[in-house]
Amino acid sequence: MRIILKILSCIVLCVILTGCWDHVELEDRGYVIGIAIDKGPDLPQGYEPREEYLSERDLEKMPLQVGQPQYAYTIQMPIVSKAQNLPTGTGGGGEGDKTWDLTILGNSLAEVSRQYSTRTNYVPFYSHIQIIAISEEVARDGLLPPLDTLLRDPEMRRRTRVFITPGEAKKILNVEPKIDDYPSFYLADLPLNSSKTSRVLHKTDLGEISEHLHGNHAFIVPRVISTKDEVKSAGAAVFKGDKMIGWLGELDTMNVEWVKNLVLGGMLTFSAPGEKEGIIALEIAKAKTDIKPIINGENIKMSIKSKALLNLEEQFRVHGHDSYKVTYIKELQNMIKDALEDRILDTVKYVQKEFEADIFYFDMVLERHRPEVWEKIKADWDEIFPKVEVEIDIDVRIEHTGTTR
Amino acid sequence: MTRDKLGSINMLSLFVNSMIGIKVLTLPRDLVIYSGTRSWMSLMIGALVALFTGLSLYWLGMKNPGLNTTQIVLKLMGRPIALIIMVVASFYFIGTAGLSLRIFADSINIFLLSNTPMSFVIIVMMLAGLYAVKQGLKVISIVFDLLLPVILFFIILLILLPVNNIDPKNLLPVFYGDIMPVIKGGYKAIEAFFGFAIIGYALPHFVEPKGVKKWIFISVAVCFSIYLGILLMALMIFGSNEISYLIYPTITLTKAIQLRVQLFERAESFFMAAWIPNAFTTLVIYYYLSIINIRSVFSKLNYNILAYCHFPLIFFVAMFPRNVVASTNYLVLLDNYIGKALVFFLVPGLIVLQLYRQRRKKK
Repeated sequence: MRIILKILSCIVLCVILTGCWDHVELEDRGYVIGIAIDKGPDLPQGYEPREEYLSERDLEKMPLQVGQPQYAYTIQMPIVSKAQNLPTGTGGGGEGDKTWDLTILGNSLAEVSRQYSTRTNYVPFYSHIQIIAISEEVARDGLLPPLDTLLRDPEMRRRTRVFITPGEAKKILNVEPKIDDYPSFYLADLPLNSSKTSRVLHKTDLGEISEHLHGNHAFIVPRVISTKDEVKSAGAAVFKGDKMIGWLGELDTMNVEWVKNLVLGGMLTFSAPGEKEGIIALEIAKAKTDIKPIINGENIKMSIKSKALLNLEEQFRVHGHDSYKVTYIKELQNMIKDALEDRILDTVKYVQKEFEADIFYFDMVLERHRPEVWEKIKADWDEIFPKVEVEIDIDVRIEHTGTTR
Repeated sequence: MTRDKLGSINMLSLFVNSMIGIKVLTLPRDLVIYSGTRSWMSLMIGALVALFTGLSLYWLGMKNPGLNTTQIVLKLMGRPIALIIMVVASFYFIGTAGLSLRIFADSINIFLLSNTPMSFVIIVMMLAGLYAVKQGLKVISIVFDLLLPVILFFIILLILLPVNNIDPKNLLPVFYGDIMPVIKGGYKAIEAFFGFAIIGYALPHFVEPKGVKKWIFISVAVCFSIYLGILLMALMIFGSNEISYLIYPTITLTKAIQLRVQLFERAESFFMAAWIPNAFTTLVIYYYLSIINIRSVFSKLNYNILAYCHFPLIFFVAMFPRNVVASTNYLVLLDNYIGKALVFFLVPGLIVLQLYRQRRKKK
């Protein structure tokens, strides 16, 4: 009896310990590295239908169980054997496309994502997705419908970067980067440069968007534009609710980041004091902003206090100023303080007037510091925000002046 | 069993492992929906109640040396009441074991092994659990001693890894609002500490029960710090509003980890390394408690046979709920009605009876 039991348990253990029910071979997975979401039907493809073959467009159509297709979803999968940067150094790639981009028209991304399996033998796997590019048209209609499954599906990660593009989102995935193999990785790395320039918005991923959508805050999402072999990420799209309401330029984005305490670095230029042609360029070494509400009866005022540590980088066409003098540095600091305060206030007023959307999170500031006031005005915040007074005080300090006087 | 003699330090792993259970997955949401940014206060209330109840059980155990909680009930309240309490408690223990197992299997199914049948995950886990339970408390305690550092290491790693994403301002406002939501949250938070029942049943097994007291304090502190770490991290990363939308905030927290380099893209696998042994310890402890509980009233029943008899019961409970929502709801019912009744009525009742008895003796 004992022996039989022992043999039996050995067999059971062999079965349990050796196999994994869910194993999928690494090479059989279709790693999706990017998703592009466009508006559906009149999507230009750039392929002329040929008579002897099915046209590309025909492949992209899919009979829906419910409704008419409104979105065109594109997924990008890498063709690893064509890559130039192979990890083992087996040498450089091949001709032709490095990625396989599949577009399908539909409404529900979940439904579409299964439809890809009618066209690829590699099962799409979404856990390593790098970017989600969304076209302006889709964004203006609302982000929530196409994003729901991305937030719900356990395969997705919340740190996937989201970009809005004025044109067609699919074009972003069609870019052929000069050095990298895949446009998705190329674009996903760009926000990491925000320590070099704060025109790149760096803090908006899927998780944050979800927080803003659920918390009913206005927010901004980075803008991206593309050519055949390059993308540029600068500026931002402004959202109120889940709908996009406008674009914010690069310079305004920088100022908005300043208010939101998101500045990691970047360049500031000012005209030199007393010299028409002269330009002074300074690098932001450190910038820290804190907002406090000041409530005076009915009147709500936001007091933005900021500390900036700058390094003098360049004096362009500046003559007769010795940067090695304390008096000059002081003069510069005062000049910069005034100019920077004006710029930022300008942007705040512009946003208040143009968008009436609280992308600075003044609502959160109120909720955190004066919850009792916030409780009362919560319902009317959309009307109150454009009228909120803002005062700003930046403490500018120039630390290094470089190696020449 | 006389061979089951434990040293005082064994209390730490036994206690911590039985407290950190299934609730770790949902704790941030459970508390945040009541008390928002002040949920850490709720957690503190929960920990204090846990500490107090643990110490009460310890005190009762010291007054009745060699007896576990059910035996104390038998001694103080008589056989009929003890029988009822025994049935209720075992119902609770089996229910918690089964439902924890189910929620564990669900989360494994969602995040890791989507094609593996759930019943298979449950059976494999239960076989391992049965094997551990059959060896008695000494072996359970040794296994727990081995697992505790692993579990703690991975949980602490996961608390620390997302640190570059935090926004401490999410914790504001700190002191605004009524006290009621905080207390309600605290009432909810007690559930996360229910594993303290083990004190009442493990105490007779300790060589020096007096030394256990210190370890009760330490264990509650360890448990509280881990829960607090997870809660604060979730609050600082998601904000209280977003947490209320997340079904498993703790797993989502692990999915929010992003390092600058292309490394650990799926950090939730780390969490599974802590989560699987953790689910195992929860199962084993409740499995064991139920057996011991029944044997305290029917001392003639064979331990091993009882262990085998529990197997289909726990399996049935685990397979009973139809979906994720149902299993969570059943667990909430168990905790709310039976668990809390035992904590708030049985324990104080026992203390009162014990004091009454002592007085009568003095007279």
